[in-house]
Amino acid sequence: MGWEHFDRVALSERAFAAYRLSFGAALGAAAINALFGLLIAWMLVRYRFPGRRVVNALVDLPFALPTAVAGIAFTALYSPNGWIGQYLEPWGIKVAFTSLGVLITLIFIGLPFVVRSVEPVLADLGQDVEEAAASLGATRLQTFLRVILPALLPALLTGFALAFARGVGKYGSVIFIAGNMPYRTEIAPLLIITQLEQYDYQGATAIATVMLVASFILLLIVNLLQLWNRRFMVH
Amino acid sequence: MQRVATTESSLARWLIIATGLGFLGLFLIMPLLAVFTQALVKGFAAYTDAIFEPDALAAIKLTLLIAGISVPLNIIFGLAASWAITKFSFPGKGLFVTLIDLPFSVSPVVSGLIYVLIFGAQGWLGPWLAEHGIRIIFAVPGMVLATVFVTFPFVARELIPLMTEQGREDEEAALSLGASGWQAFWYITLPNVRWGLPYGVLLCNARAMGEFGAVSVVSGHLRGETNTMPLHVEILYNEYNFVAAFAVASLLALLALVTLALKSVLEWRYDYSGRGSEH
Amino acid sequence: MSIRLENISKRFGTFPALHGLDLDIRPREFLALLGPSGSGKTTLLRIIAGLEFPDTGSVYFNEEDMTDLPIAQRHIGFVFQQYALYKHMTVADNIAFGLTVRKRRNRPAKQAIAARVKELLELVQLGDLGQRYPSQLSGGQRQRVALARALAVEPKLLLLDEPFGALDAKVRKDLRRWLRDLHERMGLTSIFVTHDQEEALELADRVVVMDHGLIEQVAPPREIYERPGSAFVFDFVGESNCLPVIVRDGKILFRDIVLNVPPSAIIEDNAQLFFRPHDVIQIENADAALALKVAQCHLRNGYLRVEDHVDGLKRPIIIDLPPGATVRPRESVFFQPVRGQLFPAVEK
Repeated sequence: MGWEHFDRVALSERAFAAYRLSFGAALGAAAINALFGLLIAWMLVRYRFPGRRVVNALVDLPFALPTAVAGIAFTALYSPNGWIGQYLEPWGIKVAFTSLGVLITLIFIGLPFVVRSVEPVLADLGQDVEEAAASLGATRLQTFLRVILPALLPALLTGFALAFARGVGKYGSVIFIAGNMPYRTEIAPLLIITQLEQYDYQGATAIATVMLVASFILLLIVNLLQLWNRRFMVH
Repeated sequence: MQRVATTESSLARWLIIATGLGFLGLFLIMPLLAVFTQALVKGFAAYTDAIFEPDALAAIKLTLLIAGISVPLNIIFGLAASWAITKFSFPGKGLFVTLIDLPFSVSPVVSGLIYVLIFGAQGWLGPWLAEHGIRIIFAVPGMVLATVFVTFPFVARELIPLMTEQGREDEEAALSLGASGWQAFWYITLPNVRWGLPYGVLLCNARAMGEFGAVSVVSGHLRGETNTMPLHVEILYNEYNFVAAFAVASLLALLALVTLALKSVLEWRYDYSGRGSEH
Repeated sequence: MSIRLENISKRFGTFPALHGLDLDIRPREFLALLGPSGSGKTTLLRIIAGLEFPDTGSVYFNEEDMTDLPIAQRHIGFVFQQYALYKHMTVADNIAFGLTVRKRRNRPAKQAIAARVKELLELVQLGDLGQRYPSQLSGGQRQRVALARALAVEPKLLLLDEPFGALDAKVRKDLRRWLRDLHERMGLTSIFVTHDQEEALELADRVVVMDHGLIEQVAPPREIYERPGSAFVFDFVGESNCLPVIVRDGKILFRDIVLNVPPSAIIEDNAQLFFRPHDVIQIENADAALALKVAQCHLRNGYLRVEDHVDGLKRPIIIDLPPGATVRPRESVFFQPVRGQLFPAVEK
């Protein structure tokens, strides 16, 4: 494959728009999942409330539910006359067929990753470290920020990385809600498929290569962060 | 005041629970509800019509067929791979382990693309396959291959930590007592993983039936022939045949719920028997 | 600081951990809570600390009611069995933790904190290890960091939960001497929990012996050993033998043999006699003595130890004879206890 072809397809404006959307939305969704996933993991591990068992099982729904089903469900929910979309419409907030819709669907996709990564670490955290902090006069918030959170960071990063990787590649759930307008709401995997449908195998491969390389680099960064973090966690 | 040193105030606790449940309600419950209500919005008759429509039935059959082939294949592959990795050392083992996780980190579309590049009409093996009249891409075999690839890690990932924890000693003891390799595997290794295996199979199956991206690339979307249930959902939806789309989708959603329920039961009994599992 | 506990009870679910305990702790005392697992000693310590709250009763520090105050407001130092050091912080940051979490107006300046950390590192003899991480230290070093961290906030009361349990014998011995010195030098009141009686007897000013949620005896170590207040204490502290006996007309009888031990308590009829292995004397006259077959015999701590099961008794009898005693294997040796204590018989 010539460089020129590569450049024309994989580095075109349209391609960049697609990369921005796929990677940007995946990053945003992973970040939101990191925050709420931590909260949910905390809730599941530390608290007892009615229905906890059910909630715990449901967290894995994004794993078990076929992506196409999720895709049409979210589109139905957030389109202008959908259950949620109808309330956002008057405020001028459009979700379906925009990048916001992509973001929301990717949040669904990545939800279990952070929760399941953090849960075992949180469960294993000894009580005595928190008691020690309390004995030294720390408030609950201080204990959380300075003692608990640092211990959870590697797991949090792992979950974030997994959610991000999953989100970048996701096709099935996203194409329904994305609207798939080139330059605006076209995700990268769709671009690959478009190239394939035009029998431009090389173009498709080119885009796939760019995606792979970028993902690889980003994941490498996260892995390095984790290694650095793990330096002093060894027993 | 009966507060223990390591819990938050009641207010903080309830806030956290409320926020968490609210988030989950928004992102998990609502979509589920949407699927079922949309499927039934025109009544139960329309629902059953959509499901028993010939193309839909064909899609259901195809999904079951593909899963029926991929899952057993992956059980064998997964067992073999975990067996090799945990009971033996060989050069390149580390690389092999990384490769097992490959399908997880690669986008499903890219996986499908790779198959097209290898087996497609213009791919590496394209000409050779055409000569022999074998169709892989845009036919069922390609879809099976793509599904096998994408769901391969599930069984292996479940078994590897379990087998690693169990070590080789049981098998070595069996061998020292005169058992053959096969007997050791059948009577020792297999029973040892009897809880982890169903778990991995469950996840493998859920993914096999629900896989979209990879299969979509490889299938060619021939209605009634190369459409699995997820692909059929897409077609119906794009034709604005919403009720039918949601009807088929609801079957998949039911499958998901059953998978989760079984998973819960297995987890409960799994932990009960003294071993935990990690994802 | 003096501490007073009044009528402390605690149950965990259906398990009664403590039954209405009263205890007074004097200022600058080094007190040991000694007992087997399940005796409630750790629960009691945690109630004093404020990590648990009693179901009934009150806790007073210098006559101030602390019962409802959580640990963060009691200004104590607590040292945990597994050290509970923060793995992601350096040793120096660990020690400084208590000072850095103070509210702004109470918090010392950065240099003041650094100076105090340095001071404490010197005190625990870890002077140049400030920038290491806990994972890089040995068990004994970690324990000293835990101690320094607890002391950084200048507590009046130091509580230690089996602080040396996870260390090996030699390190344990060194550290506990050193802890005692520290206690003296800093004028602390210290309470520590242990199941190791040697440790308790060696270090404490007073020992609180506990069993099944009750306090059996509170006394200086010597008294615990020489004048145990109950059968349990006699048995738990130091080695002991136990004979079921009958007391009649001022005489103690074991199966028709009169024992030459002056009755130590006013008990009639069934009782138990406890005596220590070395409180015996060898007798020539077989009729007026207890017989022990020399099945096992070895030198121990400068004594000749003979041990055997006697018919009808659950526990073996152990006696220590002077090294030159005439003892022939497979024959019997005859002896009488010279000193012992009577306690009421156990209700069956």
